[in-house]
Amino acid sequence: MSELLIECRQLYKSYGLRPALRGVDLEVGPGRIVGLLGPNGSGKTTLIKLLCGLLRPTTGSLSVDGSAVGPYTKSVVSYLPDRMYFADWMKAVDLFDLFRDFYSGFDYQKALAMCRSLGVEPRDRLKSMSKGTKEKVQLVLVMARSAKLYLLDEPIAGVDPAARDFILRTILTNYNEEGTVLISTHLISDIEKVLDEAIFLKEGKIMLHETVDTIREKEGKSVDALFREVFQAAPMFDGEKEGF
Amino acid sequence: MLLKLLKYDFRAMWKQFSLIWGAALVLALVNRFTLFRDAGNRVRTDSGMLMFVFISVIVAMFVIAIIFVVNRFSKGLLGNEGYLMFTLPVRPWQLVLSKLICGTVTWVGCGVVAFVSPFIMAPVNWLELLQLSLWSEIFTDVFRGVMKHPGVLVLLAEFCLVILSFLVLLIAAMYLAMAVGHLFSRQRRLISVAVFIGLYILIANIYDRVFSVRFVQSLMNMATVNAYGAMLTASAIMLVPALAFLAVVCWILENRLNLE
Repeated sequence: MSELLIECRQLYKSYGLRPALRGVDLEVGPGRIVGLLGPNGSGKTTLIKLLCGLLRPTTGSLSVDGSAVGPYTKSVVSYLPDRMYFADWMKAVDLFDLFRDFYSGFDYQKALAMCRSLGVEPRDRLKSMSKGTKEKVQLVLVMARSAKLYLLDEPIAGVDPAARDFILRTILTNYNEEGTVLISTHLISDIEKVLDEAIFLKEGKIMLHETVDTIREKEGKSVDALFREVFQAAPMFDGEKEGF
Repeated sequence: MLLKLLKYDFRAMWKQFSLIWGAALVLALVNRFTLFRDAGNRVRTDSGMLMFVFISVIVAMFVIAIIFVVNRFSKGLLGNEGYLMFTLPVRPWQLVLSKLICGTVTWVGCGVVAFVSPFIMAPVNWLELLQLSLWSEIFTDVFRGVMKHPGVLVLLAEFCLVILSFLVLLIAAMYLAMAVGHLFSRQRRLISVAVFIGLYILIANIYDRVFSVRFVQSLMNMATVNAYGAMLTASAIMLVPALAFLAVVCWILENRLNLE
């Protein structure tokens, strides 16, 4: 529909008097894997929630695939939140039915196949599943869709390094290659190798938006190293004097 | 899309209420054979416990129905499940309408079970009763009566409308109270309860003022000149604020949603 998949103009979002995003201008095209990188409280989740329609901007404009956020954009966005959104009475197959009903691009057979490969029994009640298994089900729901934009909010936070690789592999082997994947995280070293672009978000503003190759060429360092440099927190005391 | 939402709302409702409704009806049937003696129609004193259990189930059913309506909205839309529901390609009004329809049907279902249960429990031999040739005469008489006075059916339909309007108003007020409570970062439940009570006072005050206007009084006198008009007016009086409440709820969910 549009050459740009994400287009933000002077996007501002505040919760009461507290600003979360302050004048974000952003353009992202299709077929990219983009890292939305920033420390806690930098506005990553707010930006993702605005893109998937869970929040309304305070001011500024926002469009996904050329349309203002609404039912159409929700039909082309596949969103992985940073929490569980299941109703206890459901089974994974109930959710697959729901997704098949609402999203034309949901591949039911692929979802079942992904469950098999991830060791999830789709006919078990979600209530009886462990936290890790529920996360897998949620990942299956997101990645079994042929979406234009995948919004993954902290998909690898809170899991061990082996599980991180496993999740990333699942994402990379299952996403629609014509679509764009926006991954928010602060665990950059784990995802750096798969990123095409990186966006640094700090205190609600975009500090940097470049391709990963450009960052390496220009800065002569990895995205992770640059991130540490940009977001280095000033210590509250003199570490050397205190013997640290 | 609304039909698809209704499918999942009704599925959630059925998972919960099929057991409760089933339990109430089975207990009524058990009481039918244990609480009463068929011949003497005397109550067995040793079956009081079953009667108590039955009444408890009916009361519990209505309490659960209220909790169900509250939870389907507060957890299903304003809680973590909202992350799923608000990212579906539907408008917030469709989500609200689906929950409203499902909640109303649930309450009506509970009313039907509560109404039917005493008939199941009554010490009547239904098989004998059903075989009576008298039934054909009764049906014929009823049919003739309705044909002669078709207004009875209209009156019955209007009565149902009044009941439905009351339920819709009640649920809409609950939804609005929860939606307003959701705007605050703390004490959301307490604020919701306060808003619910406040809405009742607000409606009472507004209608008190509106009905004291002479023009409105004369309109009311014209509208309530017979039972038909009176019931329609009663429905309208309840549906107008209900629609206003629902409009505010949809606006809040569309523009002020914050699932954090």
